[in-house]
Amino acid sequence: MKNMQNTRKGVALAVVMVFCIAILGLVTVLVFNTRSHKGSNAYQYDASRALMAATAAMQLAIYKYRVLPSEYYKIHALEIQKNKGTADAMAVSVLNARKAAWMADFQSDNAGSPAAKIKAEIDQSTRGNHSFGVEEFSLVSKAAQGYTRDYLKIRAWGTSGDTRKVLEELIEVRISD
Amino acid sequence: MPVSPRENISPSYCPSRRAGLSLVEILMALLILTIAVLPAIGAFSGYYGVATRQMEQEMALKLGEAVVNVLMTANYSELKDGAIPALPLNIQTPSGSFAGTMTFAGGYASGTPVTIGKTKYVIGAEVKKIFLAQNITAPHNNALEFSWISSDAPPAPPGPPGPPPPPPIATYSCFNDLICLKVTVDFGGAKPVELATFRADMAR
Repeated sequence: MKNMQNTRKGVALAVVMVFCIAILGLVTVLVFNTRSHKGSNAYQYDASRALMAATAAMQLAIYKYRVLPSEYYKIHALEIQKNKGTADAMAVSVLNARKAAWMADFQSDNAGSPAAKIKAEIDQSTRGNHSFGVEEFSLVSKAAQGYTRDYLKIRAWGTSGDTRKVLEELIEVRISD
Repeated sequence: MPVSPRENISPSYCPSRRAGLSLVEILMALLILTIAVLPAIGAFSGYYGVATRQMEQEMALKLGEAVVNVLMTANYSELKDGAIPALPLNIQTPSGSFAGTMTFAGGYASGTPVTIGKTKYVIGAEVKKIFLAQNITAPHNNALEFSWISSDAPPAPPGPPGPPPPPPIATYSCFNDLICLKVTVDFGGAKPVELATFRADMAR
C-alpha cells in the first residue's frame, strides 16, 4: 500500500507539464498562423490594385482601337498575309515594327508613353508602385454559317508590389470592307 | 475486542499529510499553468486582432472595387465635367444590402458611410482629368497622344538615292478629356484602402 502511494507522487506535476507543452505548442501555431495571415493581407490589397492597373491598360488599348481603327487594320492585314504564308521576310519585319510601335503606347515602363503618364498619376494618388501593359492585341475572326464575326482580343496585365493580375476581354467589332 | 478502522490506520497513511502534498503540487501546477496560459491569452488576442483587421480590410477592398465599378459605368460626360450630382450605390454585404447615394461636388464625392457589423466604412471618390482634349485653334501638350508607324511613306528627297529612311512615326492627339478615378475607403485602420484606375471615353 505504501509503495503504491509513492508511485502516485508528482503525477499532477507531470500532467501539468504535458498541458503546458500542449499550450505552448498551440501558441507557436497561432503565432506562425498570424504571421502568414499578415502576408495574405498585403497580397489581397496588391491583387486589387493590380486588377485596377490591368483595367487601366485595357481601357487605354480599347480607346486606341476606337480612335485609330484603320491604322490597326493595316497591321491586321499584314498579319493575315503572314499567317497565310504569303508574306516575305520584308513584310514580316514591317509587321513586327508596326506592331511594336502600336503596342508601345500601352506599356507603362516605356518612358513618355501615355501608359507611363497614367502610371505616374495612379502611383501618386495611391502612394503605390504599379505597372501595367498589354500582352496581346489581335483581331480574331470566327466564321459561322452565312456570316463572320470579328472580335478584338485584348489581354492586359497589371502589377502592384509582387502581385500580377491578367485581364482578358473579347469585344465584338464590325469590320467594314 | 474488535478494532475500529480509525485506530488501525498507521501514521504514514494519515489523510492530512496526503492533503498537504497535493496542495504543494497544485500550487506549483497553478504557477506553471499561469506561466503557460498568459502568453496563450496574448497570442489569442493578437490573432483575433489580426483576423478582425483582415476581415475589415477585405470588406474595404470589396467596397472600393464595387464603387470603382459603379464609376466605370457612370455617364462619362457628366463624370468628367463634375456634373454628376449623386450616384446610387447598391452594395450587397454579408450583413444585408446597402442602398445609398454618393454625393459629388465637382470631381469629389463626399464621404459616404457604410456600416457593416460594428465597423463603419467611409467611402470617398475623386475624378481627375489627366489628359485634356486637344484644341486645334490653341494646341497644347496635355492631350493623350498615340503613335504608330505610318504606312504612307513620305516622298523621297531630291538628289541621289541614299540609305532607306527610318519608318515614319505618326502621332495623333485625342480630342477627348480622359480621367483617372480614385476611390478611398476609410475603415478606421492604420491607413485607408486606396484604389485608382483610368477611364477612357468609349462613347465616340
